[in-house]
Amino acid sequence: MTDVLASEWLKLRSARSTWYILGVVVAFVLLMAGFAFYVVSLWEGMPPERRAGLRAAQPEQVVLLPLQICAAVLGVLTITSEYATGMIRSSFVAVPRRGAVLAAKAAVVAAATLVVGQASVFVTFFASRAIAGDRPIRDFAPTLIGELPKMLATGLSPMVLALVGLGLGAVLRSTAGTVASVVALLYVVPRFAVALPDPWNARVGSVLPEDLTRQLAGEAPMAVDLGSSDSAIGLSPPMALAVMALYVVVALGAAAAVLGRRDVR
Amino acid sequence: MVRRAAGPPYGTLDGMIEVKELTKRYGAAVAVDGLSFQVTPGLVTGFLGPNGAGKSTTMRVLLGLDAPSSGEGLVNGRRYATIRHPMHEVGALLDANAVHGGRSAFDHLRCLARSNRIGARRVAEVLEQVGLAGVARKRAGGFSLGMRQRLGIAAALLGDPGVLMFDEPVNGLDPEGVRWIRHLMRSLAAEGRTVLLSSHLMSEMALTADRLVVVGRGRLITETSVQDLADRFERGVLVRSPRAAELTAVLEAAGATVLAEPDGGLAVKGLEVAEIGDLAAGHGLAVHEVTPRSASLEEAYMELTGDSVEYRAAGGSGAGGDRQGTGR
Amino acid sequence: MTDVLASEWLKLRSVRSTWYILGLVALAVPLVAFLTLQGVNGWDGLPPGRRARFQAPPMEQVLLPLVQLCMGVLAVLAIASEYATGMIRTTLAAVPRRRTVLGGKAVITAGIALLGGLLFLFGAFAVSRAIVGDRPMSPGYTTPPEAEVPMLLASGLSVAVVALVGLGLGAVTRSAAGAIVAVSGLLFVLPVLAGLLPGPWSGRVGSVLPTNLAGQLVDHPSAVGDLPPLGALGLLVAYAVAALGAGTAVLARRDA
Repeated sequence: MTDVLASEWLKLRSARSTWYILGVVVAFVLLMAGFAFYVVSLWEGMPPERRAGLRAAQPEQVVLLPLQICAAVLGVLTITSEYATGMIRSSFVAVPRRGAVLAAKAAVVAAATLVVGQASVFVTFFASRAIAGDRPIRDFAPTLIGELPKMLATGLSPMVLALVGLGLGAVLRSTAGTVASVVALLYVVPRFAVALPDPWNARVGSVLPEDLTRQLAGEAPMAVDLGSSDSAIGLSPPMALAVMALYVVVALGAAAAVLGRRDVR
Repeated sequence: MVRRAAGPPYGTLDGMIEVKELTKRYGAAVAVDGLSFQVTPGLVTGFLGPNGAGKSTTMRVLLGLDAPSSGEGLVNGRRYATIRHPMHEVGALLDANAVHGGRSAFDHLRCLARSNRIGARRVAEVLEQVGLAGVARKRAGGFSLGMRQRLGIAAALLGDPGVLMFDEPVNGLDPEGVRWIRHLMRSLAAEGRTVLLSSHLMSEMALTADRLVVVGRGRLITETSVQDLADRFERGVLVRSPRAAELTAVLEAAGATVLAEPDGGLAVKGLEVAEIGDLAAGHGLAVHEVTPRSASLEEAYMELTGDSVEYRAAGGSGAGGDRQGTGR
Repeated sequence: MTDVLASEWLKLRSVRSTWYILGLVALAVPLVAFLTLQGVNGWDGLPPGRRARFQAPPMEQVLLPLVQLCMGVLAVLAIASEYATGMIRTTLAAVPRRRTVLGGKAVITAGIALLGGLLFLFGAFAVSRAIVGDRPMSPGYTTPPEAEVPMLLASGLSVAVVALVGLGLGAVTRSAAGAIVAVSGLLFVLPVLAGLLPGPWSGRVGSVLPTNLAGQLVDHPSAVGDLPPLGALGLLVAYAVAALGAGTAVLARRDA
């Protein structure tokens, strides 16, 4: 298994797309630093009595937006690019235990996205706090300890999406189809959820990736938070984690099933 | 099939492929280095060289897919990209796998045909011609490499063009397919078309081509006819005789060069088989074997591409310089 | 040009992905019906006093991003699949005029996107209005239907623009994954980011995003941003021209 892992790690490292994706994430972290500078300059330019009213998004949370899609695409490409190039045949000839290949891909992708996910969140946090200095900007004020659960949850969710992308990619085998499906899961389905009447907006929303991240950190689903759902719906952090795990298990399980049964074209 | 008068603006250049001082760099790597040659109608011209010699790159430049770094490649006296409906003038097979796997063979050809005002009937015709009529409605993704080669050849033939270029067309074909291609190439040339056929296999070229353009490391090694190449690398006649020493003296007296081989045979150069036989009979010397060793083209090719010194001594046209051996 | 158009139309027609995507767009109409029915049930179950708080967005607008994404993917695939399979070399050998090739693809994909988008929009609008009937669900269902026609037309135009942006990005990136991500970034990520910006910048950036241009083009009450209609139209055109221009430049210059 370690050989398969090493081989998959080499494959991931040697694909140009991996570095493009990492580049996008790094660029975004830098953009967030710029955002922090902007907020600081805004705060400086305000009369002192209005400064308390300044609201700004927390940079380490905004990073989740590109992280999720980038991680998902990385997961998708790990498998669909092999189908696109025919490399998958060589891979399965080299290692006929298809389950092992899938598991190794999953492990490598999970490790990479977990590390990059957590690193971007924490780097963004520390960078923006360093830029803010000791200015009491309201949304930059919470301490590391207070923010830790939320940051850990945010850093974890890219990994979940990467594994979902990997599993879906193995099932669909088409880069375009799988990337579009992941995009739909991340951005389109939540819109339907919001359009559903209360309490269904919160019920559906609470099991979608974005709300799962919030609930893992102990927050309420978006619909409840925004007041568009009156019901006290929401998953406890352990339940949210379980649903996240379920996403991964279902996606990878389906992938393992089709890989084992289907001919490799 | 009748050769269609394509009517290019330069009548005398009808059917000519001209590569002039062509150089193509990809970053620091030089794929084609000052290459010049011409391909004329009515013959099958083999474009020969080891893998990575720049054959495909030259063809891509000729088809306007890659821009030359310097120099040019012309078809019928003009740049390919300026031809309005090029499939009527030039047909090409570059990469048989360059097909959308989800499209049927018929639809694939229909898409190409329509862009050059070629009707659906012609599509059916070429599918018939290449032997794919039975699978015309099947998705090309399920085709074997041999079937894809046939599909690619069908695409090249669609516009009934006067100039045809094929990059490694026999790859993946079975023996029957190889024979079919050989026959097709020869008949296309016999109809007066210009046929440029690339390969890295001398054995294939020996059976198919009339002329050869041999390249290595992006440079021209020689432009020659297959016959000339065979003559140039003539290995002479193998003679075996129980009285080898006497025969050697007789043959050398007649002006031949004779080399004794380790197994007792004599390698004779400078005399024809008949002359050797007559001389031996005239001197009453028994002869057990007289075999003309018509040059192994494969060896000739290895020598050409593998050793620049040998090539200069052979006195071919074209490049010299510090080209290093690329053959194995 | 007509030959290239016909050829590109054949290409699009003869691959399965096109029909999957159009099937998905067609499915969006029953989905609108389902979501509207849910909304109507919710409304009917509310005591009259609480109905004023009930938010009823126009359903064709809720699902418009799905249709935009579908048509964007269709257009991305029109060029990226040729690079993925190598078909692009065959295509460019058949038609060496590269601008014409991209132009042909642009006309066909924009045409399909516009037509498909309008069919979806008007279909979804008619279905959801029919289901809601005369319930005064605000803000999406209180206007006379004919007042919504300009918004529906403008939204259809935005679908075509997204397709052209997808085609241009596909030609630039030559990668289906890259171009689809870029299109979804434009459709879904940028609006959220714009919303997070403080102060006047949130509105300024939001108003120039393609998702908000249709409303400003027809000065719809729900419009985000305050660009004049001509400005919104100019921006829509600019998005398409910029993406196609970049795609053409790259296609014309690079080796295939």
